[in-house]
Amino acid sequence: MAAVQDGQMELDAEKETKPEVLSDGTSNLSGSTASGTPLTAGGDPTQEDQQTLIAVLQFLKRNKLSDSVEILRREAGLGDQEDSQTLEGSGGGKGDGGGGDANSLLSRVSIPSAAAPQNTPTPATIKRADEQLDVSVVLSAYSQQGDPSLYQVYYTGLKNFIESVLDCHRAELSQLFYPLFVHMYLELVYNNHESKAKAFFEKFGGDQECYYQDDLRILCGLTKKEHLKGNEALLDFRTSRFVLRISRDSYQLLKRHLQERHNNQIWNIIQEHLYIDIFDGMPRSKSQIDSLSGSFAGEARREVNKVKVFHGLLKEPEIEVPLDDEDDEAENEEGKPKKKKTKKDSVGSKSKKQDPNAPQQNRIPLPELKDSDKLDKVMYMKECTKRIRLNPENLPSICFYSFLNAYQGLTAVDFTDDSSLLAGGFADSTVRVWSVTPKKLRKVKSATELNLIDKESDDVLERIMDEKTASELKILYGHGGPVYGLSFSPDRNYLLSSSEDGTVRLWSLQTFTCLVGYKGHNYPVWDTHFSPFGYYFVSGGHDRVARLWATDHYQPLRIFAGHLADVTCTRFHPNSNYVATGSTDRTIRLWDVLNGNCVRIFTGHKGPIHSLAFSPNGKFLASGSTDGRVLLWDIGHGLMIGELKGHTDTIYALKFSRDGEILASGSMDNTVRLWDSIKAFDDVETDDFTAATGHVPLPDNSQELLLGTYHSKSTPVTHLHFTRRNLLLAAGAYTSQ
Amino acid sequence: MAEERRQKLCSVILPTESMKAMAESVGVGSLQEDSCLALSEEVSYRIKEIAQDALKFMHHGKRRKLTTGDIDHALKIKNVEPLYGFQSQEFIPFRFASGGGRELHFYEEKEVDLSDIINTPLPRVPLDVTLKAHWLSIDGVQPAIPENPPPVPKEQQKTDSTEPLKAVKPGQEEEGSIQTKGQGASSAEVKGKEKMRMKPRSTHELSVEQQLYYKEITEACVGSCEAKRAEALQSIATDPGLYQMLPRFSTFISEGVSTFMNYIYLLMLLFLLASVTWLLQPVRV
Repeated sequence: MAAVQDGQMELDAEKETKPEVLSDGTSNLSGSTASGTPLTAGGDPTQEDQQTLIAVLQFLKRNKLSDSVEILRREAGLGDQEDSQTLEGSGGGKGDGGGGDANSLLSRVSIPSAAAPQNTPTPATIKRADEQLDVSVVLSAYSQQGDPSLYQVYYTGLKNFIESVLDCHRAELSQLFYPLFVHMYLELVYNNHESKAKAFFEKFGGDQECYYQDDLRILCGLTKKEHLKGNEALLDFRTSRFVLRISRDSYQLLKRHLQERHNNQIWNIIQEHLYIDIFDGMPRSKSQIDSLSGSFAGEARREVNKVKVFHGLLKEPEIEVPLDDEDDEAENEEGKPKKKKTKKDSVGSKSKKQDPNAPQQNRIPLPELKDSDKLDKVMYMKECTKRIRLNPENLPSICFYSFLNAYQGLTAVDFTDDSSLLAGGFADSTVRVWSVTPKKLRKVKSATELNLIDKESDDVLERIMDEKTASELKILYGHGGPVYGLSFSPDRNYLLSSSEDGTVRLWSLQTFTCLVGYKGHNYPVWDTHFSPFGYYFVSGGHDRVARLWATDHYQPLRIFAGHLADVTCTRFHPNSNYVATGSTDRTIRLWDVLNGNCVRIFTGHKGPIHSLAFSPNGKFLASGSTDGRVLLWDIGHGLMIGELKGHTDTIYALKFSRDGEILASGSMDNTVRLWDSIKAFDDVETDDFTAATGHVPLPDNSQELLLGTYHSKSTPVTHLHFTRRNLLLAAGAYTSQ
Repeated sequence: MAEERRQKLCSVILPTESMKAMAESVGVGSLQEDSCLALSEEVSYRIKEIAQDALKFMHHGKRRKLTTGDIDHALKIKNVEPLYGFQSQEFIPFRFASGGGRELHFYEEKEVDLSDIINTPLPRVPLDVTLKAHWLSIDGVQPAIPENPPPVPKEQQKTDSTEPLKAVKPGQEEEGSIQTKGQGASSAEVKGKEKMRMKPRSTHELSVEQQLYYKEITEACVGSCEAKRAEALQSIATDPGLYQMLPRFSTFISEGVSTFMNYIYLLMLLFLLASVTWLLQPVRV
C-alpha cells in the first residue's frame, strides 16, 4: 500500500485526519500503518483528542482569539512547530497522495489539493485544511467523507468496477448502487453542498432501479438540510443500516477491489451505513434479488427471521353438539355417537397431543368462553358441516354488495364472521351498519321502558329490544374524520372503527351507541383489527407504530415500534399470539403479543402494503400492495414462497377460503381474482436447509394458479369475506365514471 | 443491470415571477431576486411534501383522484391550519389576464347578489347510500345480468357490429398472420381471398332469447299499442349487449323505410329516430 512506502509525515497526516466516529471496520486499512508510529506530539493521550485540540486551535486562530490560542497551546503542550509540522505533513502528504489517482488513501486530508496533481503547501491549502478540521466537522456525527466534488468520481469508479465483474456477481453487486447513491446524496445535502447534491442526483438518479422511483422522487425535491430535518422517515433511513444480502464470493470480490484501490470512501460509507449479510451459496440472479428488494431499508437480516414463531392454532375447546337438531338428523342416518365424533374432528384439532408449532393455551391470557359464545360455537360447527368444499373445479360463487350513491366516500368495510351484518365506514365520518339477512337491526330499549317489561318471562332477551325503531340500517355518528378501519368483534357485540381524527372507537351493537374512544395515536389511524377471540385489538397509524389494546383498558398494552413509515394494515394471527403489520416502508413485520418483539420482517413489495391475510392453518401469510402483486410468505421459515401477478392496481382485499384452498383478491382494477393456494403452497419445498440462505427459488406460475377473474361494473373491490359455507361475499362502492 | 436510462427525475421549482406576484398581492413592494429564489425553493419543497402526504390519504380513501379534502388532511398532520373554501366545479377555475408585461392566472371571485342566492330554489337532495346485492359469479361463471359488465369489451362490440369485414375469429387471425409471413408478393392477393372468405363467415348468430327479443321489439315498434312501443324504444336505447342484433335492426329499418316510403308512416319515422339515437349513443357498459 502506498502509505507504507511513504515516510513518517504521511503517517502523521493519516492519523490526524481520522475522525472520531470512524467505526472499527475501517481501521483495517490504516490500523496497520499507524500501529508502529510514535506520536509526534508529547503527552497527547489519543489521536482523536489530538485532532480535536488542533481543530479547536485553528478555530480560535481564525477568530483571532490569540490569547486563548496561547493558553491552549501552553496547556495542551502543543508547540508552534507542532501546528506547522502537522500542516506540512498534511501538505506533503497531499503532494504525494495527489500524484496518484484521486482515490488515494490521503484524500481525506484536504481534497481540493488531491485533485490538483502537483501541490505544495500554499496558504490556500492550509486554509482549506483549517476548514476541513473545523470543529463542527470534527464533532459532527455525520462527518465529511471526502470532498463533495469527488463523490461523482467515487460512484463512477464503483460503477466501472461492477460492470467489469462476472455476470453472476454483477446482479448482486448492483444492489450497492441504490443505498450508496442515497447515502451519498443525503450526506451532500446534510453538509449543505446543494449544487453538488443536485448535480450528483442528475447524473446518477436515472440509473437506479425502477421500483425505487417513488423514493427518488421524494429525494429529488429535498435539497436543503432543514428540509431533511423535518422528514422523519429519511432521518431514520440515515441512521438505520440498509441491509444487503450478498454471497460470500461476490463480497470477497468487492472487498478486494475496494481495498486494493484505496477506495476507502466507498468502503467507509459501506461500513457505516450498510449492513452486508453474507451467506454461503450461489450468487443470486437478478430476478431473485428483485423479488425480495424494494423496501425502504433493504432486505431483512437472516437472524431476524430465525426466532421461533408459534404459528399453529390453539386447540378448540371441547363443546358438545346437541343431538336434538332435525336437519342434522336428516343428513346422517347412521348412529348418533358417530355423528358427534365427526363433528368435533372436522373443526377442532385432530390430534389430542400438542402441536409443536402451536403456542401454549395460556401463553397470552384470553377471555373465557361465555354461554353465548358456546352457543355461537355450536352454530359455527353446524354451519361447517354444510360447507362447500372448494377446489379448482369447484369455484365459489361470488355475491357482490355494491354501495350506491357513495360519491367516492366509502373508505372501509367489514362483515361479521357469520355474515349477518355489514358495516361501512365513510369519508363523512359516519359508520353505517346494515343487516344483510331479513332480520332487522334492533337496539335495546331505553331505561324507562326497560323498567316496564316483565323480567321473569322466557323471552326477556327479545323483549328488551325495541321493535319500533327496527330498521335495516343504523348510522353511527361520532368520529371527526374519515373512517379508515373497521372490525367487528367475533361475538357480534361490538364494532371498532378507526379514523383520521386519531381515535379508535368501540361501538355497541346492542344499543348502537359509542362506548369508548381510545386516544393514543395523535395522527390518523389507518387500520384496526379485533383479535379472533375478542377482547384484544390492534391499531396502526401514521405515527409509525401499532398499538395493542384491550377493550377494558384506556391505554395500550403494547406498542410495536420499528417501522420506518406509517403502519397501513394490521391483522391478528388466528391463534391471537402474533400481529402482522404492513407499512408504507414496504415491509411486513410480525410481532409477538406476549413481549412486543418483532419476530419476522418480510421484504419484497415495491409499494405500500394495503392488505394482509393469514391462512386458516396459521402457517402462511398473503399480502397485497399498490404494486398489484400478492406475495405469499411462509411464517415458520420466514421466506417468500410465492408471487401472484395479475392485478393491475392496488389490492385492497385479500381473504383465504375457510379451509385455505382458495385465495381471493380484490383490487382497484374492478376485479376479483381467485388463486389456487393449495398448489401455491405445495409447489415450494421449504425446509431448514433451503431456508439457510434466506431465499427460495420462486416458480413463475401466476398464470397456472389463477383460477378465475371476475370483472365488476366500475366498482373497485374494497372487501372480501368467505361465509362459513364458503360463499364469497365482495363489497365495493359503485363509481359512476 | 441498472444501466438503462429511465425518465430523468428533475427537481422542479416554481418560477420566481410567481413569488413576485404573490408578494405584491400581499403588499410587499419589491422583492429581490435572491429572496424570490429562496422563497420559491422553500415553497416548492413544502408543496411537494404536502402532496406526498395527501397521496397517503387518497390511497386509504380507496380513490384514484386527489381531492381538496386530502390536502386539508395533509395540512392537519403537519399542524398547519387548513385552507377554507376550496370547492370548485371546474378543474381549473382560474381566469387568465395579461398586462403590464406580466401574465397572471387568478381565482376569480364574482360578486353575487344576496337576494339571488336566497331566492334560488334549493338543489335536489343527493340520494343516500344504499346497498344492493347481485351475483358476480355463480359456480365460477359470470352471469350476463345488467349489473355485470358485458362479457365482451366495448371496442370489440363496436368492431364486430360496424365492421363485419374486419371481424376477426381466432382461427382466421392465425391464418392471416402465417400467410403474410410467407410470400410477400402474393400477399395482396391472399388478403383479397381472405376478405372474400370472411364475408360469409361473419354471420352473427342470435340465441333463442335474442331472436325472441328481436321479434318482440319489431312487432312492438310497428304495432298499435303505444305503451309497448315506448317500452320497446326505451329498451333498445338502454339495454346493453344488443350489439349483435345491430345489423338485423338496420336491415329491418332500411327495408321498412323503402317499403313504406309511399305513405307518411309516422310510426316508422319514430322508430327510425329512436334507433338512430340509439346507434349514436355509446354502448352502455
